Amino acid sequence: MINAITYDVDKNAEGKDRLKAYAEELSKKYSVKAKDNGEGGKDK
Amino acid sequence: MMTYEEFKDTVLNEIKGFLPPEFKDCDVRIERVTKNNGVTYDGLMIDTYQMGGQGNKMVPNIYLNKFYEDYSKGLQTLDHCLKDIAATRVKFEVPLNQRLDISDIQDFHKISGQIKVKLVNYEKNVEFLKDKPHKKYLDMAEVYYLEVGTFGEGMGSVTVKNTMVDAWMADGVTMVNSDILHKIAMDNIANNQYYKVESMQEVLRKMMGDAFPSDLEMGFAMPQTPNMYVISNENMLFGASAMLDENLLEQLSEKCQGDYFIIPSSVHEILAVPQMGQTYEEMEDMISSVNREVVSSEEYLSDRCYKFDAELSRVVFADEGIEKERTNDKVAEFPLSEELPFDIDQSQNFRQHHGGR
Repeated sequence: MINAITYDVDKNAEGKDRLKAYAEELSKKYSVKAKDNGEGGKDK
Repeated sequence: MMTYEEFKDTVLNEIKGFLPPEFKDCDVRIERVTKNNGVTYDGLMIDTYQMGGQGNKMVPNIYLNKFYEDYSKGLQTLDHCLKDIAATRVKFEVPLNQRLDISDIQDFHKISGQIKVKLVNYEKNVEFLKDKPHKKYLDMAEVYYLEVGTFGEGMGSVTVKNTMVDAWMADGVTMVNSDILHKIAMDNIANNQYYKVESMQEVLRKMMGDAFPSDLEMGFAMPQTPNMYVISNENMLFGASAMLDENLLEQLSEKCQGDYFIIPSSVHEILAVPQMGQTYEEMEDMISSVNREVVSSEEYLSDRCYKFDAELSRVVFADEGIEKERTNDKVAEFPLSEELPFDIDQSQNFRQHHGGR
């Protein structure tokens, strides 16, 4: 028998910071790989 | 400045004075609540059920730790905290016409259409999983929940526990187990076009608006930067379970032209990025570093990198196949183990010395 049920209210608290960090890291990685392969080179 | 214990006692004793009149006979208590990854909070429960049977047995948890943090940093006065807590309780009350009560929750046929699935890290939730039906998936576990309402940017949910399953089975449902819950949750998802795939740039623009930084703009604009995708649900809450939707991932493999990496950004979303020469070691270094620096303990999902294998049409660890290839190399290069002229450790040194892998 269940007498009471509690529920949690969750938020996606830090989504912006996470995605920004991944966007920065991945852009760097793709840029380095392109340089290694002799492509691109427009990045500073 | 009050200690945390004094703060909790004060909230317990004074919160009724800050609530609207309809809460005057409510029952107030504090219970320790274990959340994802072993994170624990003190949940304040303001229960209106005691009010002559007129209330609701469904009670929101209001976590006091976060309010105390603001108080102890001097960002909020005690009075403000009490007002905020009371306002939060009112805000988190599910409207009467949308309300699930205990009898609904005990009726499996009534609520099965609302069962959803989320993914959590397996190792970090061994204790949490003990009283809940779950299904292991790679280094994670599927957990099932019922959505009880949305409150601004928040979503109210009840995690399915073994006690609920017992109640369903006592109510005449022949069998409910994690396989059945998985199937129901996946059917509910398939029927509702639950997940969505958006470009990383698009999502960040929506989240950051005018604060979208110019260096990020340049990064996205570089010709070598491929499309990166964010996969989640409409609310961006517990959307990492999109990893279980093989049809969706299959469709994405057309966009990514075959295999692609899947990054477990958090319990709320995953990222899909094309493989362009990065090793899984590099990817896992990046994932653990972002997890350490930016991801909250409660939202952490995994340090592993996954891959959608288009040929197998399923998600695997990104190093799957690579280890096998390495093992096969050893077998091909050396005679059978009993005939090895030296042990494996020495053979690795031998290879390094002679330029092998």
